[in-house]
Amino acid sequence: MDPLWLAQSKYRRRKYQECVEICTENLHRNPYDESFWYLKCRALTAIDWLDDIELDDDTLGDQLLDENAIAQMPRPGTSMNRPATGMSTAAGQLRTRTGRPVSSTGRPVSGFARPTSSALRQGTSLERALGTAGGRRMMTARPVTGSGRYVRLGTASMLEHCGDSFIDSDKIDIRKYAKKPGLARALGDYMLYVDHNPKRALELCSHSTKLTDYRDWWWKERLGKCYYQLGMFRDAEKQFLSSQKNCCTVLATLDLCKVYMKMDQPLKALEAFEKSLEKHKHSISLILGMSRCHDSVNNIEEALTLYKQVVQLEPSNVEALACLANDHFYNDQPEIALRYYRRLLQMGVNNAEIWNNVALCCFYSSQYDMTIHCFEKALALAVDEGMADVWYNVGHIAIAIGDIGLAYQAFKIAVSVDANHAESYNNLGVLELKRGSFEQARSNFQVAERIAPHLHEPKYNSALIAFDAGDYEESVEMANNSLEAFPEHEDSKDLLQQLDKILSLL
Amino acid sequence: MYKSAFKLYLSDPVHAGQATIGCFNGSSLSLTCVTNAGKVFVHTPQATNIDGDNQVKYLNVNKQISCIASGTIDPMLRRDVLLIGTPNNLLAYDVEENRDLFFRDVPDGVTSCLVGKLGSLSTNLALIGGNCSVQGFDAKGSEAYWTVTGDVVSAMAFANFTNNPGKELLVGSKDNEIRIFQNEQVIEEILEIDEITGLCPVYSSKFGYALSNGTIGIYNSSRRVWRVKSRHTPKCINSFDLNGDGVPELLSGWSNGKFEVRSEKSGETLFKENFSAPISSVLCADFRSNGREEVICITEDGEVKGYLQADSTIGKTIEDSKKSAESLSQLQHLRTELQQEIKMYQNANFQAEFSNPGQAKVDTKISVYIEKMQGDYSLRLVIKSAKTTAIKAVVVEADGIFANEVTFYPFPEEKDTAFFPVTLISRMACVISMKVLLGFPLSNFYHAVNAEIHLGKLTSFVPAPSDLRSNFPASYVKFKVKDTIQRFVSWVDAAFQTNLTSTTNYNKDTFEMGFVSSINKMPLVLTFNANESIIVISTDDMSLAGEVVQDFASFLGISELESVNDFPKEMEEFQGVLQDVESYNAVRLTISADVADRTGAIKELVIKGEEARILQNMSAVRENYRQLFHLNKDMVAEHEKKALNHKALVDSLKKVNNMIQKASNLRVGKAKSALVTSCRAAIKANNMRTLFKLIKQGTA
Repeated sequence: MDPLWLAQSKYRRRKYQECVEICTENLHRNPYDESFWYLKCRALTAIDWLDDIELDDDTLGDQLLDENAIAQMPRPGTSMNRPATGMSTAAGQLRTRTGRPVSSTGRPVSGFARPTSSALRQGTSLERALGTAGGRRMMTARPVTGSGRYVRLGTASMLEHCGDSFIDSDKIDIRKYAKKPGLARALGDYMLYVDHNPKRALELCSHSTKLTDYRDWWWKERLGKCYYQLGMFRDAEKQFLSSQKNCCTVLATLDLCKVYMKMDQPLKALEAFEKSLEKHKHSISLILGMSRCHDSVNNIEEALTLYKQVVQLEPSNVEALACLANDHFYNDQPEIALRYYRRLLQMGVNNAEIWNNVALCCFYSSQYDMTIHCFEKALALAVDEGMADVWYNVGHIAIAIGDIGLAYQAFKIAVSVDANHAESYNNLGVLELKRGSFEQARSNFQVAERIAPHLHEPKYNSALIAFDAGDYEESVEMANNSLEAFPEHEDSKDLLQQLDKILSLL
Repeated sequence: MYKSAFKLYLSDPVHAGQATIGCFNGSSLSLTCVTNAGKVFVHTPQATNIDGDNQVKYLNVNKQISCIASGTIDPMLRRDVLLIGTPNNLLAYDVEENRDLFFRDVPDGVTSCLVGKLGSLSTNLALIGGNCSVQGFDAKGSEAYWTVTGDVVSAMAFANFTNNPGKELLVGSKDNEIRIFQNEQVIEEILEIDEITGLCPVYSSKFGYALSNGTIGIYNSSRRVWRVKSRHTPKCINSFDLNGDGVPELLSGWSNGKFEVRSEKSGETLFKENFSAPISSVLCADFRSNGREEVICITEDGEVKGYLQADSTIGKTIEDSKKSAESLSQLQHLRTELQQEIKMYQNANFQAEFSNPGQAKVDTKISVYIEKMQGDYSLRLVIKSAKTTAIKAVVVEADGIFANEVTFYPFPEEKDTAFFPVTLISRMACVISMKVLLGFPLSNFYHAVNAEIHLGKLTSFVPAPSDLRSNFPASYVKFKVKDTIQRFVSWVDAAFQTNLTSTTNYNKDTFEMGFVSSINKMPLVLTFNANESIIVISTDDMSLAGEVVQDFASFLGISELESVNDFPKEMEEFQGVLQDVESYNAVRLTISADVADRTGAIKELVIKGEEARILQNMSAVRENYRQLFHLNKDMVAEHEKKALNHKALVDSLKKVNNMIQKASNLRVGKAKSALVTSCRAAIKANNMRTLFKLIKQGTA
């Protein structure tokens, strides 16, 4: 059999490893065989390929040491660092984040775990960030820098051919390859995705763009990607825009919006999305991107309409379904949420989180018989990280049905699984307080507060304890801290008013 | 007379001249200033606290900011946009929405920017002055205007220079010239004696200017109304009707912290105040939104003071009292003058009794002219008076010719003819004014007689002897005219201050005349072929050829002129410059990628080092920081390379723009502006062959 044909066939059937082996063998015999070279290049890239548009996490170094955003204190609702605190709904009421748990950015959870949802809060100190990076909620360490990020994301396959240097990007003659358009493209992708050498890839891309008379959208898009990986966002923006001008692709738009999000200009990203949407009316990626943008500035209403649009176009879109379900749940419509979750289950999403959510929906829609079963299922599926959350929810159910003993145990298990589960510590504190052990409660609140400074509940609880103990000064301090974490918290405001009265009497 | 309306202190220093006032949220005004470390702050006194907005917001640009401006570019937006210029790019930023309107690379750099409607264009543009070029961007960030100037643009303003509808753009540049653009076309050039640092419209066709040597003044169209000079440097100028008399005054802020208000008519100081730090900007706006515009003075250490317009009635009485004071001082001056004269007569009579008799008054006329020395191609100024009198000394005053602007030449020989050398350093029109001291030989009394002589741009050329053939310039510019040889000769006489028309012995068919510059001894040959009515100007200096063509066209009132030229030496150099630009650009690309790559490594090392510190692993801390130190050293070296490369690139780009400017100067009218636009298009398309052809022949 013709080895080239076989290798091609293997490549098409996604048996990349085997394809690489055949190519390596043949290249050994004739190192100048371009067809094998090309195929091996493609196959290696395919092995290491990762969707960098979807999977993009801000690295620690970038977050702590970069000032890409122009405005330090933008108007609320125009930046991801300052999401709008309250959005008015269609009915005219103010929808605040009360009742919805918040992620560490101080933003309500959206129902779908995205890389950016674990972003750091602005102004976090280096120490804190590093403490966090050590592994609190995230069981794996965050990548430190841009280049580190790509290596880490592709770790699994990286190890295999670490010793195998198929192409040495630093030594290759880029001008020669740039003249062969087919090979150049394969090489460009290889440098970006396998070799993670954006600097050399940049050279190749710029040569190729020049050779195509600055008309090829693909090269420009890749050029933008190189700049993006190097952290030169302005240059990346220029390339993506020019790529769009040549040929308005969804890809370039998504890339461009990623740049805008990096520069903390969500509204500009929305503008770019809308412009591209005129051309690609039914592109789900674009609509989803827009709704994520809206989510990031806390414009939940807009985001939901877009999620609904997505579901209409693609009824099996997990992200949109999960977000819609989440919203219904927190809007006191557990039955409807349940239907969405069922749909997700039907589609084959089968993990601890989903069963956990189903259980909660069942409980709140009074289908008590189902609740425990679902939790059992969730626990059976749960791995370390999710386990604590499931036990935490079990504890909640236990409190709701009045079984304080079970609740206590559940929270204890939660913190034993994940020693950094702040919410559980907080609830444990409340239970201790009910039991009358004052000191225990206080230490629990303190632990919760230390682990998760973005939560206002432990702060408020500490303030209450201090108030009861007559330590007004501390109470005022804690109540103020709580308001800092959540400015619209009514109870904290009430407490402060009471304290004000008492202190003025004194 | 002028009370300060308000006073406040900003917490940050303000860079010189980098402040603007704009309406960024559509309702209230914000003062926006550039401060240290590439940051801009926006101070909005009327900010409502509902959104938790602070009065001062900071914007990070993280680059050296060269200028800022604000204005409405996008008519749909209904609010102002902030323009931030850096040495490499321009950012139009919507402060309210926290988004870019556009971000453009400007390789020529942004040295000054302005928002406004130019000439016949229908929308506002963001106009950017850079290295020898002026660019205009519309709301989408696409280039809607481009033209060239002679040097780095240092000031820009809109003014109603002609009485046509639509405003003209005034561009002041580092080559001491103010150019007035009507759309793409230069309609007037005014040469000053130092770099133009500020320009502002006053009213109708009057505009104010400031120079870096400490001069401020006012022009009415191309005629200077007044000027004053000071030891300090003016930092900013503006105009506002502060005394309420209906006519704006010229406001100026100085490097020593002085804020001055001068009358636009006479330049007389109406008001003065001293601040403790240099003035950064003087702006006019209704800053407190109470319906009255006020003048706002900002110093470099962040002090802001506002002045309200005086009531118009008060203004009137002040005006009246000022008028009477003025006439009083005039009369007093006249009296002292007369008293002096009486004294002199008395003295003269007294002396006459003892010394040789003679007239007290010398009523002789003097004549002044420039003599061109053919031997060493130099110029000298000759003063002649009547036979009986002697020239004792002369005080000469001229801008930019003599070292101290004023020079004193004594003539101990006491003859009726005196001369002194004039060494011109640039081709520049100027006026030499003299006070000639006359007297009788041996008498002790001098009479001062005023004299003036105008030097044209081309005065510095000395007619060459006819054997110029050996040194004939290889480059030339050639064009066809409809004029007769007589008209041509009369132009030569006027421009070069020769005397050919009277000596009628020139050839009627072909006329050839050689000159040598007294500045750099370069030859210039003019040829007129009457049969084909073609004029050939031969010189190796392209900008000189341009000046000759412009002078010729304006003298004979030619409004359209196309020409063909060949400057082999200059074109060869230009070719080299273009190649340089390409290679510098390539180097820049690799260097900036290198820098970005290393930045990533630096971040990694910082984080790792800090992590090790928290874990108290001191050896790892040391290792990381050691690496960081070395990397840092590398980065510094890399930066130096980058800076050098950038400087070279900017210089080359400047030469390119300069070439276009020189080439356009060889044409007049439509051909001139068309050449600029088509050259720009050729450069953008990277089509060098077309560019060369355009420069040589005017059309591609």
